[in-house]
Amino acid sequence: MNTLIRQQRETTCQDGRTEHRHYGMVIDLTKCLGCQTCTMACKLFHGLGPDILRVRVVEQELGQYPDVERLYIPLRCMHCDEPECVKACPTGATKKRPDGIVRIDRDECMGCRYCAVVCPYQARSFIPVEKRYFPESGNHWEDVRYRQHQVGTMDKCDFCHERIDRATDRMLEPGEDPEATPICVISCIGKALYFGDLNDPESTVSRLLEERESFRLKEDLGTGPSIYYLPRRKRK
Amino acid sequence: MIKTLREGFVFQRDWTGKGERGLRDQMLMPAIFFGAISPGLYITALLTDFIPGLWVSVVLNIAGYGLAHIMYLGRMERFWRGLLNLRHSWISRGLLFNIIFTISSTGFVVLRSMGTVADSDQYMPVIKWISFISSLLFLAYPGFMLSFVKAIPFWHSAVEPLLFFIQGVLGGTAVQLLMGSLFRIDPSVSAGLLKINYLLVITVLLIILSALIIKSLHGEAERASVMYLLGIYRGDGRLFLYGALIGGLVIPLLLLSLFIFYGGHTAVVTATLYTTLILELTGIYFAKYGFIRAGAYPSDTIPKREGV
Repeated sequence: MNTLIRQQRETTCQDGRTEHRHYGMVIDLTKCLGCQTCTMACKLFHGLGPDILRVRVVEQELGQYPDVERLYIPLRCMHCDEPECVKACPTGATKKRPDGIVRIDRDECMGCRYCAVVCPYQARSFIPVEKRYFPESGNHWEDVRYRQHQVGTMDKCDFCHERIDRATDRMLEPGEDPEATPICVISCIGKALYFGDLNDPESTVSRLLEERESFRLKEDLGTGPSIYYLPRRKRK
Repeated sequence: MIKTLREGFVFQRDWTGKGERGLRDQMLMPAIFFGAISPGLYITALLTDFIPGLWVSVVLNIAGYGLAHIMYLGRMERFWRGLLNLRHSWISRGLLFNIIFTISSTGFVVLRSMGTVADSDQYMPVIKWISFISSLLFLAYPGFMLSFVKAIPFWHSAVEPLLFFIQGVLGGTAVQLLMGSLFRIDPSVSAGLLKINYLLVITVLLIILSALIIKSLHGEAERASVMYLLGIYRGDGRLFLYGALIGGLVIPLLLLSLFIFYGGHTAVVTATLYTTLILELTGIYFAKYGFIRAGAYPSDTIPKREGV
């Protein structure tokens, strides 16, 4: 039922009369194991070559001996409200959709890398040459995926927008239905990643943000990231 | 010290002049260098009516800047798309300034050299002014391009446009004075250019030193950039210290002081002067290389106030 209501709301949105969806992600740092499954799932699903990362998990050490902790922070494109990359892109290849997803039109990118330089989160990769992990023994899936990338252009996380777009047509709810959810979220073994509509007060992401304290990275730059982090709960 | 350097910042990896594409990736720094020298030379040559200088400027712009810059792009054939975001992007604006500069400067130089069109012709002053203004804009744009980058605090300041502009004019005077060995330049013009060159060396040195001091007092990322430029952190940062700061500014300043205040026209003095000018040019190259390589982001670490 909820899905139907949301779909109805979205239909109204497309007419431009009510608010749009705003997709975002909530990452629970208490649950992240640092296993890099999200990194690998993304690479496999999108057929990303060596050195091309859309998602990465960095480690941070906190505290001083003997009270020391290690924290894992999954990083990706923050799909900012005020994306610096969109402003900087000279060709207009980087676009922000009404639903908040920032994506690159590969056919328009000229590969100047200004977007990568201006991004405060270093979330973009340049595809310099055609390179595969297993050039001799690639399977059909890899062939298809590799062909989708263009050498000499930029690459970054787009929240698996194809899955979202395709599934929305089939009345599925992004963030709730696995088929309509980014691959990193459904592959996370610690269930640390949540995806959904930040404008929908009933979505999981909105409820988590309502219930728990959260923060965003480099908020002082005014980019308005759509990725929220839930801080690690302190050990008792 | 090591702890400070290993935490809290990450150097930018995208504009380094190095990469898997070999020569094409290396084209970035020559493009930025010639993008400063060419309009700088054009301004000095235009103001002193030095036609060989105008020609060299046009050639450096087309071959040195234009071709190198296009080669650097990932998709060369789409370079024209760079004009599509003039409203926000400094790269788009720079491309527009360059196109106007290329067309107007080439047109002016060709017409001026042919001698078929007199200076008094109604179109010549228009072309001359367009080329002059576009050369000023083209000279300043890389500085604005860097200062736009909020993510890299070392670049995000008003110093970059000023520094890039003055360095370009400095390079222009140096090239024109060097060309004086091949082409006849009025001695009074040469003497004037030399004094301007001397003042510009002092100005650039003061700007760089004050920028380094001020930025070293700020955040970790800015301090890391300064340390990089002083050669403390990484090996190639020494190119800036020895190539740009000492070799490209301090030594030329001392030699020019001797030359200006004590004079002399012996072969040794002339050779020393040309060496000084070459040192200045290599210094400009290393300064730009250093400033771009030194860009560092504050780390993607969680804010301290969260206290997790």
